Amino acid sequence: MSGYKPDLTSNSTLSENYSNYTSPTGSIVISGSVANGNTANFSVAIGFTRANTKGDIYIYNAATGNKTILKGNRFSTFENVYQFVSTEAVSRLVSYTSSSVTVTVSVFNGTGGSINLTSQTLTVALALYDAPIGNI
Amino acid sequence: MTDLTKANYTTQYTVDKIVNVIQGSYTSSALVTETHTLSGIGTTIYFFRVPHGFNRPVFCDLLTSTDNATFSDDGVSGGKIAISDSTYVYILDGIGAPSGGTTYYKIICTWIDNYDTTNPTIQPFQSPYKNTQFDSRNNYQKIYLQDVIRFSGGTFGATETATVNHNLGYTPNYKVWFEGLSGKVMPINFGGATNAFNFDDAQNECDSKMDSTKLSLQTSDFSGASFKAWYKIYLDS
Repeated sequence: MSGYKPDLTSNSTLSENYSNYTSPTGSIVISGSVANGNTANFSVAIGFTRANTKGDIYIYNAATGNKTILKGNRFSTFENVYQFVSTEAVSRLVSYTSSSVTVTVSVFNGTGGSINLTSQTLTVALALYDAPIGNI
Repeated sequence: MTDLTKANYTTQYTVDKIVNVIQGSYTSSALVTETHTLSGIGTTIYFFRVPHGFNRPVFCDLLTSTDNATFSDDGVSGGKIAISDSTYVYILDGIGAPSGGTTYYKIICTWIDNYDTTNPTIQPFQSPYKNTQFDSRNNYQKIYLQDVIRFSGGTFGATETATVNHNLGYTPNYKVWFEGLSGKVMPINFGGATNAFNFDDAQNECDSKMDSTKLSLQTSDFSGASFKAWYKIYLDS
């Protein structure tokens, strides 16, 4: 079979595609106080079948209007998705089972005093694809 | 006019073109090493390397597992990251001596539209792992905007920003890849000393956010040279 030029092709049956079969969401509610030196964790588990699935994970805050695709370990002020109250260090952790993904927002308070976190709700949105991958 | 945000597929918009899938497993004996300067000292970095089959970089999505049952997606905590140059896909296995065991990987390579002006011809790819090429019951994310952004990168430690207006009135899905090092295309990652995917003091970083009117990027420049970032903004959200 002859080749094709993907740069000049909008779509083609000569390549595979990401088939998005579902886009579930979940919420992480953040509130409360964190003493100096302590860590508070807030998480949500969203179910999906892991077998040969590729997932993109986004996190969105309606209050700030910003969404970010979950790459990297920490929330940044540039992203403006997590609403900082001080200089707390905020990490995002992702863990999987065969049937779910859990996204955790971990807040470490190293500011020197107790802080009251900004009450906020973060929406975790998954785009899940049947990917052209198989069992190993 | 039909609301194309509700359409599973339309010829009006490009979709992601998957041009190869590479999967398998490796142990520490298969790793290659490179020496990078990290925190001011020469450090051995371990990669698993596999040819992607093309003569220019591709976007790589990666899934890895240590038990061949539960896989993690790339760029997130607990996962690894895949980097492409003009020949290989590199899986960043780790900094320092490998811990051992078997890593199972699945690499999905998608085409970088307009990577350069060459417009090469490539062979068709149909996955041996799936029988269905297209399913009209499912959604195929429609690429509303995509292009390359060039950052000057000339000053060590400088921050650069770029904005792409989409004006969709809602917050769409998106993806960004960039050259962390010259000729090395990787998913966006950032975090400085806390960035688990940083393996070289000269590695650029890229951060992103999307709102209802624009995509915003911010870089931390460490390579001392210009570098590129590629974005895709989907009609889907």
